[in-house]
Amino acid sequence: MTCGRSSNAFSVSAVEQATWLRFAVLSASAAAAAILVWYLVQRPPLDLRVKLWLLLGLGVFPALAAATSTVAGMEATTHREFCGSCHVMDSHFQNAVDPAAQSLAARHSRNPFFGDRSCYVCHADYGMYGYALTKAGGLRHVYEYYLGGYRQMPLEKALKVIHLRKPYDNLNCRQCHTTTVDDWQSVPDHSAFKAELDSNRVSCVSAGCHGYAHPFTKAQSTPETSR
Amino acid sequence: MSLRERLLRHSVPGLLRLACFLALLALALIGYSVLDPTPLPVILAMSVGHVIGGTAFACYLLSVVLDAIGSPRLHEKVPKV
Repeated sequence: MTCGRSSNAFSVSAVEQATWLRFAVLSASAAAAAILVWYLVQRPPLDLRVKLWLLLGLGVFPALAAATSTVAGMEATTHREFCGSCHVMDSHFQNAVDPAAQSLAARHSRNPFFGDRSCYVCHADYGMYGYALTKAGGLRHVYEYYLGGYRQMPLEKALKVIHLRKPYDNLNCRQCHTTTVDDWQSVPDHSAFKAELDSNRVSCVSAGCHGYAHPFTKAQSTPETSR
Repeated sequence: MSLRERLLRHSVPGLLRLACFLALLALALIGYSVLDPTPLPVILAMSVGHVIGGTAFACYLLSVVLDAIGSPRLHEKVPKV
């Protein structure tokens, strides 16, 4: 298997990066807050020196904190714990972290190439991860959770009624599992459904193929809502 | 002292205090988002936090401009010791 989007080394470096980002955010915030509290308490006359200190406290340090916190926030959204923090994802999260689980999602989550970013690596095309437009689209999840009724929805109901907004893109699988090698092409079903797989009319994670990805039956559920 | 000068004299420190309080609020949101990176704090920091922080900086810039406009006239009124 080849995988260009994630690696163990990348995960380690991402953790170090996140730690440094948090440190930078908190340092810049603390420096700015110290200047602002000093100004509010001391109320010095507004001379050039004070204006420059306030430029640091109201401009430079907050801008630094805002920029680094944005990067840190984007980074945080790629972690499985972030996805699992909404209760409607509890079953998916618990299955993914279960070392004995045999679902496609669980097996991929145990792969060091996916690590604790397995949700992001597989779902980056539609969730609140990845590029800015994808993240903007992911705001729908936040809206649906806090204002759309998902927050009050029991997990049992959520498993039945919450569905992917669009069919899972086979291209996500094919970023690692290439279709150009003989091993893939020698499977009769692969050759027979090549056009359907290319156009997402048949999913790699269909029942009877390699899925379902998560161990929750979708066949009996009613697609009342989508996420 | 004219009304304009009185407004300038009082609005500059007031604007700066407002800017400081707004910036502290924005920094609190931003700091909380990295300590508890769950959806709501992260989204709030990257939206509301940035707007409040931007407003704080705008207040600071406005106060500097008002101070620059008002300072010469105000200084003229200050008796030399």
